[in-house]
Amino acid sequence: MAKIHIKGFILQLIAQTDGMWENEIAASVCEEYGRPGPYWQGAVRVTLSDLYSGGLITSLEERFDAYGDKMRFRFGLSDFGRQRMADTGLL
Amino acid sequence: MTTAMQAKAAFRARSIRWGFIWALWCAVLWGAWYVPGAAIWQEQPFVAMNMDDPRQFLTAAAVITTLNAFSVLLFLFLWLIVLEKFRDFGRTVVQLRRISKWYFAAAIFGGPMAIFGSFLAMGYVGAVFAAIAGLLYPIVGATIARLWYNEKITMRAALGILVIIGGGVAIYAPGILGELSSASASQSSWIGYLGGAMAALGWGVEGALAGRALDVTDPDCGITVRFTAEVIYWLCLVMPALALFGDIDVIHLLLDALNFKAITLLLLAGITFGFCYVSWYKSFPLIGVGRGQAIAALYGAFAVVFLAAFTLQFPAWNFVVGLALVVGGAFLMYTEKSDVLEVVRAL
Repeated sequence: MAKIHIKGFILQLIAQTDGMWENEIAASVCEEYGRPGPYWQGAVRVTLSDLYSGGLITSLEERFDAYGDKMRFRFGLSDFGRQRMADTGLL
Repeated sequence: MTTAMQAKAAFRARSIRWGFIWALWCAVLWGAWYVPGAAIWQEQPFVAMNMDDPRQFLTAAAVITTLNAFSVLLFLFLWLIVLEKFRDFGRTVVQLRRISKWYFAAAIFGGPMAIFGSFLAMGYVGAVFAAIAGLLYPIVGATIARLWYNEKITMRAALGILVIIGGGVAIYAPGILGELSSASASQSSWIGYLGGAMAALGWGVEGALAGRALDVTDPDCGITVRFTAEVIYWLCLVMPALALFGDIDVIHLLLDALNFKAITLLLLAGITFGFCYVSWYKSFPLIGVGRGQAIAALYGAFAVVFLAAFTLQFPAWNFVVGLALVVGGAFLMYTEKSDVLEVVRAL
């Protein structure tokens, strides 16, 4: 079966779990689409900020990554995100 | 405050800042588009046409808009190839029934409806009226986004939108009274007013429709789907209709436009309009359709600046008043506390 678009895949990935750390999400996307490297990991993070700002996913847990000087989030699907996925045939 | 809390606040502020940066880029590029967008009318074959005849003017407008959409799509394809997202575009466009239908609908409103409406307003009332009518679109976009998917339009954001629009009106105000009084003498001026309403409604509705599809799709792929749809509409519906039912030979007009100077201007128009749209669509998920559209409406000020830089015709004093208002309106929105904006929807 043809692969779904990446943002849809990310939503489906999060929907199957009760929360996923962003580096796990990035690793799954890079593996699924055969796109390793920091560029695609960054691209997944940008997509996650879009989804978070739009309220489709929520942050369940945060930790500060002092090594990367960045915030790391564990994201879960919101009710709104679930509804939007249903609207667009992603569930 | 703990380090984690500070880092979370910084992350939030960064997302919002990027949303505003993208919307501001949209305004800059939209303003820059007016230079090739205005210059193309002075090139063959358009310069030889009689623009006082509404049929010739509207046919030329349709041909220019078709070629502009083509040029935009060319640059968007290039953009996707550079970003390595072309395959993801393919995966997005095929989901016609569930997802890309929203982009196809957005293209009707933002393309033929808004752009053609804008040309009608220009042709039957005047360019100043068309500019002001176009600037009203964030009111439509913000209202639909608020009612349809509960976007947070705070009092402060609403005030910012109104101040920016007021600034836009101040920039173009001096010409409007003359245009309105001369239009009132003409029996066909209602077509121009209808065109003005089509422009404001078209761009406003486009943003709201696109905002819905952008929830679940990548903005770079989404905007390319939207322009693919627009090219299909112009090339497969509007151009054949004009060729069959119009009294001007559009096929020759299209072919005659493929000269060096016109192609150069069309490529410049494509690159500015294309990336203006990329920035517009990237800002929506981060700061919402209402704010993204309002900041993008600063294009009214940038258009005057770019046209002044290229034509050396400098604006009058009212431009400074308008500029102060649009910048003030933008600051009003930008300085809104980031905890209000953390999530752009009231869920």
